[in-house]
Amino acid sequence: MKAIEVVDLKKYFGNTRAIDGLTFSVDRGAIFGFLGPNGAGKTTTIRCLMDFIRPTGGQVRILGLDAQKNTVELKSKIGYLAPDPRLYDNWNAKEHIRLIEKIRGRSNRVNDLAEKLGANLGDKIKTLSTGNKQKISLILALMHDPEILILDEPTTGLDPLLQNTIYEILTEMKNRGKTIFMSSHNLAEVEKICEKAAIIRNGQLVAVEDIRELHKKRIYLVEARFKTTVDREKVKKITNCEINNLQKNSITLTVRGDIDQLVKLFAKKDILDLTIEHAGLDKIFMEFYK
Amino acid sequence: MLAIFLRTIKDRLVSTLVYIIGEISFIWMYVAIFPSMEDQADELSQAFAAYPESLMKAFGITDMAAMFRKIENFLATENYSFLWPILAVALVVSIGGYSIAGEIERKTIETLLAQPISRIIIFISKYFSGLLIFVVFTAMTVFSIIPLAKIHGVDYFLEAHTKIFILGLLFGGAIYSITTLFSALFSERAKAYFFSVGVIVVMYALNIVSSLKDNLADLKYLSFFHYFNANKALVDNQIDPLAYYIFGGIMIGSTLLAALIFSRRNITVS
Repeated sequence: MKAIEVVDLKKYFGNTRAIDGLTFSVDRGAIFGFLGPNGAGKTTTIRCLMDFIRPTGGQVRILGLDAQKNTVELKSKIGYLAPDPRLYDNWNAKEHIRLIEKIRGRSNRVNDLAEKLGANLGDKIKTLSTGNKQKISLILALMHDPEILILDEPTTGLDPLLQNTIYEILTEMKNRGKTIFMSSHNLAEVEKICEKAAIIRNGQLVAVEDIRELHKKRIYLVEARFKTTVDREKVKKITNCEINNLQKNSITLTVRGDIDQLVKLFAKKDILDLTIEHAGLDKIFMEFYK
Repeated sequence: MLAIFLRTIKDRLVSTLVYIIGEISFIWMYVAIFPSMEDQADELSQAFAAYPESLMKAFGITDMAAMFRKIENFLATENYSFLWPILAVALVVSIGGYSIAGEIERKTIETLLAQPISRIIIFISKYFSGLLIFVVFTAMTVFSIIPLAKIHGVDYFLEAHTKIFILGLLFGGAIYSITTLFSALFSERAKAYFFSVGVIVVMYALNIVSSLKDNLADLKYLSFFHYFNANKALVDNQIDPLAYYIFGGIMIGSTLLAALIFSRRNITVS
């Protein structure tokens, strides 16, 4: 049995087709990325999974149960994290936890999670930073050790340290057999922790890729400045590199796929400055999923 | 269900206490000045005699001399025809408007929807917690007459106050249910407040207009303020039977419709 099965899912808002015939499935015990640029329909899909909104057509099954008809039963097995905190400003974290415990029963994971995340449970939510609010939201999503985690852009706006802590927690959950469904518009993030990813654009599925396949579709934007002259011919020999601009001592180029060869080449020279950026998802889509 | 119910009450506790203390302060003032008004009833009646009859009718004053004879007459005119309904409306509109539309606007509704409880349970918890707050407000303000009358040595007729308590509950309950309906329909508090207050203002205006011209008299039947007849409840110890049907019907109808809309609608926070 699949953890999540989405079959021909459609959600229209008037004339706007937010999702238009989406079909994919997620294996149990996997970390599944749900990748797409802003406005692609990721959040709408997640809202259908969570039964916040009702599909225009199609079917969503989670753990073999209908996501709409069996929503109450399913939610006892699902932990949900929104892209930005949905917390009560005048409460503190303990009050949120108490409310959830009264609904779902007592949790013995709260202290562990709070310690791991470095979360302060006593301060009012309105006094907390975005990162600290997200920590509280994560505790609320994880405190009952759900079988399935549905995360909508969980690391957006967070500092790299907190991002890494979240990745560690997710990996640890996966190792315990939990299923994680995670939306993102950050390819590097999905590559880092997911095994498989569905890629959507304009509400339609573009591809479901194994993460190794996705890795080949990376695009790097590289800018380097050297003490000595750049050897154009050596760079040109690297087949997946495209030179955008070449000066006497500097070069800017686009690398598609593996960057290893280029870095090894650069390492032989005296580098004054080096910038390597991941291309945005939009550019990757233009290149690979036209 | 109990968790959300109790939490909602806790969140509204301070503001509800402010409403209750504010209204009791006014009732205390009316009760405190009533003995001296009673002593000067004739002089005051003469002084008010110069006021236009239609204006007095608009404010529910039909017998000026009687107004100072009993505390019930005095409170019916001074408190329950104007101040109490305003406070009651403000309280129920603020609670009802926040209960769903406010939660959607502040995105906190997702925290509740992500839990293993049905939307109907969320709705019932929210609705009845608000209703209980209003019952407490009505009981505490109306029955504050008991200790206050004793403090100031004023005679009162408990049965009449019980009537205004029932009528007040029906009146406020109907407005609360209408506000909850708008709250279930919209995703912004401002819209829920706007439409609820709009309905109330129109009904208030209809009641005033109907008392000014005979050919418009039937418009009063479209107004809650016609059925919320404080004079009749407190002075005559009666409630118009139609008030039970109108307020009760609107309460039940609006609440069922609100529950249906909330359980079926798309809830998107942004």
